This record gives sequence, structure tokens and C-alpha cells, in this order.
Amino acid sequence: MNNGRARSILLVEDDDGHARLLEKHLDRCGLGDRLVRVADGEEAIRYLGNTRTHAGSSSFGPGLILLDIQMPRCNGFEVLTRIREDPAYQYTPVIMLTSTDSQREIDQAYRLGASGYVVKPVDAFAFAERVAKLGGFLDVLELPDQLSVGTTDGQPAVG
Amino acid sequence: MLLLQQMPSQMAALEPEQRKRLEEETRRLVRRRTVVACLLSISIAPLYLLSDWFLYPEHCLALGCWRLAGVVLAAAILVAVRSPIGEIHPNRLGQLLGIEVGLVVSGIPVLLVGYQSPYYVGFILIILAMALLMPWPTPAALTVVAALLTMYVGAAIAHGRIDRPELFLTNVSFIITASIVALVGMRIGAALRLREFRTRCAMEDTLRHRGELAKALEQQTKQLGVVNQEMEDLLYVASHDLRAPLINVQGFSRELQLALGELRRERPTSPESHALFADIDQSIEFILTAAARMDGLIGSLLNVSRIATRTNPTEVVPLGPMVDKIIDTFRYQLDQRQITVAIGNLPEVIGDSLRLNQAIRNLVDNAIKYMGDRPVRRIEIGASTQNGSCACYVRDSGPGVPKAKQEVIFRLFHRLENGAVPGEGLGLTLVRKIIEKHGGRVWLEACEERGSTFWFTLKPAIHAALTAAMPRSES
Repeated sequence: MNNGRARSILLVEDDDGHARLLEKHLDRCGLGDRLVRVADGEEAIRYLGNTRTHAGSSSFGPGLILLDIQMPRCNGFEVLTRIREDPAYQYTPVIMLTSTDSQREIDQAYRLGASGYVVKPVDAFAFAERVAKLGGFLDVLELPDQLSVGTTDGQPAVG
Repeated sequence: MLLLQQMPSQMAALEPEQRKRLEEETRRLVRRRTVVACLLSISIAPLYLLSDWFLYPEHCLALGCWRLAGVVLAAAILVAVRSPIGEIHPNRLGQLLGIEVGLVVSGIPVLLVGYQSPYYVGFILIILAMALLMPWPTPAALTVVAALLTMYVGAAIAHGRIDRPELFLTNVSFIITASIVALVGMRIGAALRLREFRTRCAMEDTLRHRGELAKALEQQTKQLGVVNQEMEDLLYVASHDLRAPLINVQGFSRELQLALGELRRERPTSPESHALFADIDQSIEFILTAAARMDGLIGSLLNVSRIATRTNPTEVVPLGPMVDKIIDTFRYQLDQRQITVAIGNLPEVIGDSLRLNQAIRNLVDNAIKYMGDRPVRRIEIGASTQNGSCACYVRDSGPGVPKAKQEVIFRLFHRLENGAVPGEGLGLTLVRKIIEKHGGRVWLEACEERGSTFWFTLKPAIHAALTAAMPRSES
């Protein structure tokens, strides 16, 4: 967690609108500048591959991956499988993003090694808090005054 | 005679391959009958030897030799019939046998002792036996008849002077009469066989047709299953994809609300711009309300499609406790609208408890929603088990459903014209899908003004029928 400041959040999302909304949510909580967005699964795999090659160590890779399930070309499950097969990202937290609460999708996500899932549309602060907790960014999280980590447990948005 | 007239036209009406089949059958029959005739002619030879001994002791030796030769010849024909030759020429071999037996049995005795010999009856017997045994065409039968007649006349003349021509002519006329009877009989037999063959063909056609129909039906059922699955998949993908843009609409509308709020805080507003802000606020509210409604619709569509695509484990589900719990969750609405609930004896059934819960919940929800302002507000839930199937019902004392609407209300997105009742028109579709997925069916018994009863059938758990308890009632 000491190098939390250096680590990024990788958002894999094909829908520009969704990506922008998530970015805004994270922005409000001081996490926006860490966000790196790629537009599909193949690009994500390429990005992760490059990060590892150049840095030579996974510690420079993203500290958290937000992965949309429904994407063209290479969907979230395929990307997740590839991530978990890669020793460098074996333990990187991955939150799956889905637009339905389909139990089948959720089950499959956990089976493939997801750390959590979020049903869109998301509640901004609960989402940011969940991201901060899983990615180790709690020290940089800026919630509005009336909210604190203790009172919003993130449960409504995260299962 | 009618049969005789019918025959050529019937024969012509046969399909070429049917005619071929009939000919093939006839050929086989002739072959089998020729074998029988051979064995018959061999087995009666000793009888003739015996009668020779009594009638013509002086010719006994010569006749005996001829009888023996006849037996040998018949045996040779038998062998030929059984060999591949018999397959190709069954008619010829049969004709040969007829002439051979005629020669040995009657021809030679007549030649030896004259036309008055009682052995001439042998010709008549052979002709009649031919008519009985052989399904020959007329020309083949005529050949044998002519050969035998010629043989008698020839042998009689060759023997010597015919001193009693009237007796000779009487014998000849007997042979001719027998021949005519035999030929007519053979034609009738052929016509009957043809009729039987046609009936048989028609029956085979019917059977084959039925088989084809069954196969077609099976294929159609399979296709229907595929189409159904495709529909479910389509529904799932469509609702999934519909949700993605909706998330943008909802998300950015909220962003707009937030931005508007900040704008208001930062800038002191004139009365005009205040009205404008209120207008924008209202517009965004409309967008959000519409989006929320659409979200609800999509959610329901997803639920409908999931019934087909998702399967939960099948287990024994006690309906009683399940219904109790469901009623508890509706307690507030029930109390507020003063609706009484009576729960009868409910069995244990086999099924997916989550789905069944959803179905019953929808029926109860429906009953509450459409209760209206009737003086008696009452919901009854009960069941009756018979013939290994259990029929459950949810009855309400609401305004009922018009007869014309009773079928369509189970369809997707169908709602009674009642704008005051909220909902997407998917609840009953969901109920129907769930019950059908459990192998049951759902129907409505309703008359206007006297409430509705929704029935659905489920498979009872085996010991469920044995439990009987007093109906319970609660308010």
C-alpha cells in the first residue's frame, strides 16, 4: 500500500458514456486522475502486456482493474481469464461492471476470479469507496463531509 | 362377372412399381404352389398303382413303370423349381408338371385301354387342381387345358376305333366344362387377389403417411423449441443492450441535475432565469421518470427471458409456508386496503422454489392491484390434488376479467385498460412462463363482477396428497 500513490486504476469499458460517468464519480472522490481508460478487451490485454514488459515488475501495473463484461471482440470474462493466467496480475483486484444483476454472470465472474462486481448505474460515493478499498486508495479518497467510510459501506452497489 | 370386367381397368390403374411388385408376388406364389403340386403328385402315385392292380392286372407292369417315371419326372421338376431356374420360369415349370402328370396319370392308361377308361377323370381332377392352386394368367392355363384335351382325344384315337362316340363326346364335354369352370374360377381368384393387393397397398400408404406426419410433427416441435430458445436469447440480449444506453440517459440526467444545482448556487438568479431553471429541472425529472419506467420494463423482460435461460435446482417445495411468507410481505398493503386473506390446505410440490415464489407473489400482487373498491375485499389461496396433479388457485373478489380478455392477459405486455394500476403488463406472462417451465398450465376462471380465480397445476411431492389439515384463515 505504500506505493498506492503511484498506482493507477485501469477502466476497461467500450461505452464512452459509461466511462465518462464512472470517471466523473471517481473525480468527485479524488480518484479521477489515476484513471486510465481503454475501450475494449483486446486493448486492455495489450496495455497490461506493455505495462509489464516496460516496468519489468507488476508493481508498476494498475492497482485495480474495472472490467466491463459486455464488450465487442473480447468480452470481460475472456479478459479476466487472461489476467488471472498472468502471474504478474494474478492478485490484482478486478471489479466486474455489468448492466444487469444476472446471477449467471455474477457466478461466472466469481468463478473466474473476480474480486467483486458492480451493477450499473452506480451510486457515485459507494462506488468510489469500493474502488478505494479494493485498490488500496483509502488514503487519497475524498468523500463529501457528510459521508465517511464508516457510514457508507458500499453494499448497495457492490455484492 | 363384374369382377372380370373390373380387372383390366384395375390393373391399368396400378402404378408401374405396384404392378411390378404384384407380378413379383404372383411369381413367388406360383413357385410355392408348384412345389406343393409336385409333392402332391408324388404322394398319390402309390394310390394309382393300387387301382391299376385292381382295374388292369394285365397292364399292371407297364403302368407301374410309367407311374414310376412320372414320380421321377415330378421329382426332377421339384428340384428345378427349387433351383434358380424356378425363380425365372415358375409358370413354365408348373405347366410342364400339369402336362406331365396328365400324361402319366390319364394319358397312358387311355392310350393302353381306350377312351372309356375311368382314368379320364384324372384330366378333370388336374384341371380343377390347377384352378385351385395356380394363380396363372389365362393364356398359361389355356395352354395346359388344351394340352390335356388334345392328349385325351389323341390317346383315344391312337388306341383304336371309338365304338361309342356318344360316350367319348360326353367325356370330352366333361373335360371342356371343367376347363371353363377352372378358367372362370382362376379369373375370379385373380380379381380377388388384385383387390386384396390394392387394399394392402392403400393401407401401407396410410401407415407410411401417418409415419411421415408423426415425423413432420416431431420435427416441427423441435423447430419450435429452437425458435423459442432463440426468442429467449434475443430477449435477453435485447434487454441487456437496451440497458446500456439507458444507463447513460439516467447517469447524465443526474449529472445535469448536479450541474444545474451548482449553477444555481454560484449565480444569483433573476426571476426569469429562476423560472427557466425550474423548467429545466422539471424536464430532467420527466426524463428520469421515463428512464426509470423503461428500466423497470427492461428488468421485467430480463426476468421473463431468464426463466428459460437460468435453471435452479428442483426440490420439494412446501407451498404452505411459502404462501404464508409471501402474504407477510404484502401485510402492509393488505391491512391498508382491508383485504382479508384465506389460505387453504396447500400441498408440497416439486419445483424451483425461487421461481414458484415469484409466480405466486405475482398472482397475489395482481389480486391486490386489481381488487378495486368492492365492498367485500377477499383473497383465497388453496389447492386440490387429483390424478397425480395438483391444481392451486388464487381467487379474488375483484371486478373480474371480461371474457374476451381472459386469454390475452397472459401475453407479453398485455394490461387491462386501467391506467390507475401501475405495472408493466409482464406479471402474468411471468407466471405462465414459470408454470409452463414446471410442466404445468395456468388458466383463469372469471366472470365479470364476481371476481377471478387463477388456477395453476404443479407436480405434487408424493406424500403431499396424504397430508390433510383444516383450512386456516387469517385477516
